[in-house]
Amino acid sequence: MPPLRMAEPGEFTRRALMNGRLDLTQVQGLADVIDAETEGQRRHAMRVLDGEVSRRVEGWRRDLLRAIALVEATIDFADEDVPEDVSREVSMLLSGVIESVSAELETVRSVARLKTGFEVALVGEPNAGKSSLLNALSNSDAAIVTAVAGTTRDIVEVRCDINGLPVTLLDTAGLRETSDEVELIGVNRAITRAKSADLRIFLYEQATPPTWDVPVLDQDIVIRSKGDLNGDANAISVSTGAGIPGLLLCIGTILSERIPDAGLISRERDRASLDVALSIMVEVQAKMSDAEPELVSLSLRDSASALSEIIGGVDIDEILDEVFSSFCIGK
Amino acid sequence: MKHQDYDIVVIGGGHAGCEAACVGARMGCSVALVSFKVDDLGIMSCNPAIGGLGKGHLVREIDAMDGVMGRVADRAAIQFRLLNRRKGPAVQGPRVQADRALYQSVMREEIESHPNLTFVEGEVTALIFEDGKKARGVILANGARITSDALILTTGTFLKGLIHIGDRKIIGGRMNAKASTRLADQIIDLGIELGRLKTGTPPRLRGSTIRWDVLARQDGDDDPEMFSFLHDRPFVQQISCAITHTNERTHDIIRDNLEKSAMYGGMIDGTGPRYCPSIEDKIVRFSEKSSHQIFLEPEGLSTDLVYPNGISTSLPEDVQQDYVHTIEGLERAEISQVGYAIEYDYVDPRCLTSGLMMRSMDGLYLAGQINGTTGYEEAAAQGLVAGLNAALQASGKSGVTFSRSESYIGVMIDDLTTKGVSEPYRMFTSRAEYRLSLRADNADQRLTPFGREIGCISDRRWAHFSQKRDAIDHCANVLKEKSISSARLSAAGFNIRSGGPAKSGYEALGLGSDLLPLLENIVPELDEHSSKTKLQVARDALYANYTVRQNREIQALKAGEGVLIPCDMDYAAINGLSTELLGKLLNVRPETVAQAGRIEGMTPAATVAILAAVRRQERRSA
Repeated sequence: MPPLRMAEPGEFTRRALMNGRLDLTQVQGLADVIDAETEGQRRHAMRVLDGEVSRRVEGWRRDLLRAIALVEATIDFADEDVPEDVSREVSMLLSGVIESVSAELETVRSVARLKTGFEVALVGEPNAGKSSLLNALSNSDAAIVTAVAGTTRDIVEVRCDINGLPVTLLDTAGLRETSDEVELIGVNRAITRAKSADLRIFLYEQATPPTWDVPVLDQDIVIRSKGDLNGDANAISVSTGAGIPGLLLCIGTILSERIPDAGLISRERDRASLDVALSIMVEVQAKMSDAEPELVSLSLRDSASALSEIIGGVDIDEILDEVFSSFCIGK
Repeated sequence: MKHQDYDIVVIGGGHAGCEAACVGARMGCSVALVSFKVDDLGIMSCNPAIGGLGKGHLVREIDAMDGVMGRVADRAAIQFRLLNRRKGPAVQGPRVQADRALYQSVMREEIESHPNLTFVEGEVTALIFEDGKKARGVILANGARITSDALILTTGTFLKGLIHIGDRKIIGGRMNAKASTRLADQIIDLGIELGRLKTGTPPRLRGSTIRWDVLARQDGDDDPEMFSFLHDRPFVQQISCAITHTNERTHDIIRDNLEKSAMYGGMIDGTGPRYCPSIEDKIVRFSEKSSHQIFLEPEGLSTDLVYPNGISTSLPEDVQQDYVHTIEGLERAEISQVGYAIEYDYVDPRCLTSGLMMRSMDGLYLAGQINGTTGYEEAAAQGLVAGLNAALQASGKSGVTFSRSESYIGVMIDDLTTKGVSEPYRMFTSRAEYRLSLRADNADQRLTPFGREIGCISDRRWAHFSQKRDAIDHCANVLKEKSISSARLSAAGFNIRSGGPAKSGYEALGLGSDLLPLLENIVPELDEHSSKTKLQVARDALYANYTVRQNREIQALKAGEGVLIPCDMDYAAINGLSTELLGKLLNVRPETVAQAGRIEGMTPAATVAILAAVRRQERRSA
């Protein structure tokens, strides 16, 4: 691999401008689009997360700022009324941020689903109406079919967009007992896929739900089909379209709730920032007790600046504000 | 009527004025320094100390430029202390207690002995402007005219200075000093942006009435560190300071009389520095503290005066007396001069270029407290910058800019001219983002070659520096070429895994602090180098790993600094700048794209737009 690095923000634009590939108005137009997008993302994230993440992020910022201020106080005001050793408090603050950032990185996987998409499996006995439902869901106005791919002997996959989320519907066609060896392999594969899907819709035709080879998990949807034939007001009907919009809404809502921190670290750049910040913090934490304070401060500032796109910049005036409000400085 | 002509006229003989006049003279210009009284040259209006953290860095940088403050302070120093001695060299700051009278007389000697420099005692009552936009000299109270190519205004707190003691008010820039009101009116008429700041001083005590025997002593260092790279030992007798504390009774008296304090009685509008609060402030803002530290600093060898550092106040005289007497050791202390607060106007430094010249008035330079700073060192450093640039202008050359990446001076000037001030500006090491490279110990390595190039370094200083630099380079090269196996280093006591790759002697010094003695045991080649040289190489090596990364940042900064914005840039014609940002750009008028990027609220897109506008303008004029 040749040595590669991620482009700095605006680097391509800058190069394009410097090399005459883009003119000023184009650059500005581009900048506007970029700004709008990130701002929108941020706002969206904040709205979705009912304040939880913003509180956490504000906490990182406050704790890092405090940690830097403590170290700087011992450096710049050594002759004053400040504690001589602040490593314990700094270490505590840092542990908290490290723990929280690590947890944040853990959620990256579920957030990554925003890009790769969710899998929703339709489960039911043959003739329960799965294929019709698949078509109905993927052909309805709310669900837009973007591609049809991956048809195997046993599983039909349809990619569509439900409530703005990318979803792959799986029609596990062959859930029945069989003696055919090849078909058996297919059935087992279908069961495995259905089990590992993000959500399952269990479909049945008769008056009471049967038992399935795939366990019904919390939040899974169990629903009766063919309402136009059996007259059940709660059943859906592909022919009349009854209950289909409701089902789509229900799928969309359940999956949306599975995205805990959308926006914050859905961007690869943000994830990389968290990774960098985390490794710096872990490193400085390890050498806290015997490192020179100016080096500890440098590392703390580096970690804050790695996080600056997420937590906003931490500048010297804010650090001094913290010092002056915490300690009685001045002879 | 008398009429004289000089290259440069400096108004004010404080720390900024003295430094500005001296550097102008060093650069070969004829300089007139005009001030009220020759006795007040280099007066320390506040505490009798020079240096400290950040400030000590500035003094070393002034000395590296062959300035006067460091040398004068060394000669007047009665106690040397290197602050943060147990921390890394990057954050160590030299500080001295200075004999106030001695400092003034040595400074006077410096001023009077320079052949290019003339001291003029008098009051400047008016500045001479040509075409309303060029500063061309001054008129004195006695009617004399002095013309010049450049003017440097260093009037400190004398712009509308107002002293407060309780509800008493005295007009003036310092206790017992005249105020230059007519000059102030003319400056205010220039239509520049003014703000108001305040600061304060404590009551001065008679040392003979202090019970020193009951107080803890604070001694100077056993191996004192001089400010000047040319000096190696103190010049006069050394003394100790003492430490005492306020107590609950002190605080009760102050709390009971708070409304009589000028600062708390609503009599002062100016903003004070948070790092130098009055004792009233300390007691109100940190009410949970039952005691505050006071340093008792003798003002000199031949005076009985003592400066109690830590109890500056604007309370009435009788209250000052009462609270001082509650303090251990000061029970019968006599006050020789009451403490007071002073508020004064300052000029928004964002109207200045990086050479400290007013953009709207060619040849008029401002330096020191008038620009919203506090501290002798900050003032002197600005005097140096203004004096250098005035001298270059008088010689028909273009000015110089100190970069943030090369000096604390550069950090300060950039902060002032880009961000302005909201409280009196003081230097701290934390303001310098490249702190590990900008050390007090390497100020000469950073700046003396630059100074030599401009022409402000004497032959004597240059010879001294060159010798030192060659010795350091030689020693560093020996260590860089010396390869030592990790097994050998580990056996010698270095904290390193044996079996790892070999390291150069230089790299080995970067493994931690104080490793020089260990290295000396296994590198016999070091024997032929002086301990001073080796120590300096070890300091450079200590941060080498970190400075490599910083150097990359510095390269990026320099690239931005290399793109000059024409001073007549039409920001209004640049599409897409917000009204707020446009206002800031017009106010600050950044000189480089790098400086523009540091303006508060600046976006990368706006920086790109400015860059593009610069390029366009260049193409058009090419």
